[in-house]
Amino acid sequence: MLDDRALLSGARRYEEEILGEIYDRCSPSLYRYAVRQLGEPDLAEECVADTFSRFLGALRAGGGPRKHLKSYLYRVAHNWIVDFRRSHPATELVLDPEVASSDDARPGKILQDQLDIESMNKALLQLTSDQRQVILLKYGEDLSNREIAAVLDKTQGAVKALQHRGLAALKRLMIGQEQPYD
Amino acid sequence: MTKRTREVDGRLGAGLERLREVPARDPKLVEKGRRLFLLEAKAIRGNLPAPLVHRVKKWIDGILPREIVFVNRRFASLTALVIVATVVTLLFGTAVATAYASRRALPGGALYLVKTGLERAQLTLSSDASRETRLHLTFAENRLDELVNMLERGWTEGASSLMEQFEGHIGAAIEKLGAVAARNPIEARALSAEVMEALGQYSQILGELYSIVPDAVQPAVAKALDASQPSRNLPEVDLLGTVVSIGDPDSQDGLAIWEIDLGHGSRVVSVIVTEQGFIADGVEVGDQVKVEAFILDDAFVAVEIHPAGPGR
Repeated sequence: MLDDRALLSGARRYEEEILGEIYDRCSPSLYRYAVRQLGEPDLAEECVADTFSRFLGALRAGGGPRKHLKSYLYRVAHNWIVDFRRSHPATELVLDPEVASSDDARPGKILQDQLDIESMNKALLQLTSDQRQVILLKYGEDLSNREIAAVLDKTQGAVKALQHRGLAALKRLMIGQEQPYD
Repeated sequence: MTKRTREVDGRLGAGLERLREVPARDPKLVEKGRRLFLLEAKAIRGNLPAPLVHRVKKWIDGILPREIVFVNRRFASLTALVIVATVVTLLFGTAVATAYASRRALPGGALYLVKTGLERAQLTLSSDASRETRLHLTFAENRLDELVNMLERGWTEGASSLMEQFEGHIGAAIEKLGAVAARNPIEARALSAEVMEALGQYSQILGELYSIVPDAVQPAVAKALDASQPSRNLPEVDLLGTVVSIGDPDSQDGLAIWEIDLGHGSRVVSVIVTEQGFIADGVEVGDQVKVEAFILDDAFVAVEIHPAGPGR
């Protein structure tokens, strides 16, 4: 499998095979990142398409990533979402209760899954934007602290602090009075 | 659960695990996005005209499941056209306004006859074969642009006629290029490079359109694509001059480069002789020759070289 350096080298030469591989490799995770925040699959696809278009535009202008392709693309998608949200403020995040992947079809489990999702939805919305981004990228996309720092243009220390505060806030918001934590 | 979410216990861990679940992607949208991305990259690589590529992209973007209200868009276009025409009329007067407003006209539209009439007038007023070549290329591109415009709106009636006109302009451009070549091979060589580049771009766009136009339009697009292949339209020239140097026929790549002095103040030109080229016996440095050649990528490629001195 080609590493980022080989992919970027091929991308700068606009090699179709390399660009196709970049798209196939990165678009699924960009879509997941976008759809969680935008709530609409079509809108998420538009975000993905514009992200890749901006990537080409940056290459054409002599810019674009030097090393970490994935972080760069996430960052472009993140900026797209931020711009979109300025004109379309979020009223809710969408974690679709209908797409729970659990194979356990017991009614109690399904209900618990739905409650988990609704609680998470409400709690995430009450975090700060930075805390929310860190939580989504870390637990939704499995990015490392280094990669998250590159996406959000912060230090790794800042990412760790945001993760710690975000999780603490989520615990308080979700668990609250129902299940005290030690 | 992942290792990370296992590290966070209880309902919070379960909730974080839910972050990984999202609605599945529509495979059609995935394929469309991939195609658009690679098309844009191809356009950058081939330096295709950006406005036309943008139009093709926007059209492709609209053909998969999204509701497009054709009637409203048609009215919106007409309204915009009227507003532009009104502003230009106030500033510049009626004739210019009409000409300006006709630029975006499509077949069947009120101003389309004005548009094509203006194109014919430009050709009539031109007395220079080079300019006429370029005009025909411009008008061929206009027909291509109109086709994309129509397809965006879901119109197919008249598409075949448009493609016939496109082919006509391509043929006329090549014919005029031949006239330039007969008069001035060096000017023809430079002009040929422009023509071939344009044809390459058009054939690329038509190739992309072919796979996505409605079935009824495909034959017309295929014919236009065939007509615009650069390799089918290589202009031919006859060069008369003196042999300055003869290339090595045994060169590694099978190509010999001859230098021919065209005289009368013209430059010495290089002529590529391939293994398929015919050279008459006895041609030497200093001989007057006639070189029958075609122009490929800004170069003369000899088909035959014959002596051309007095009595020959």
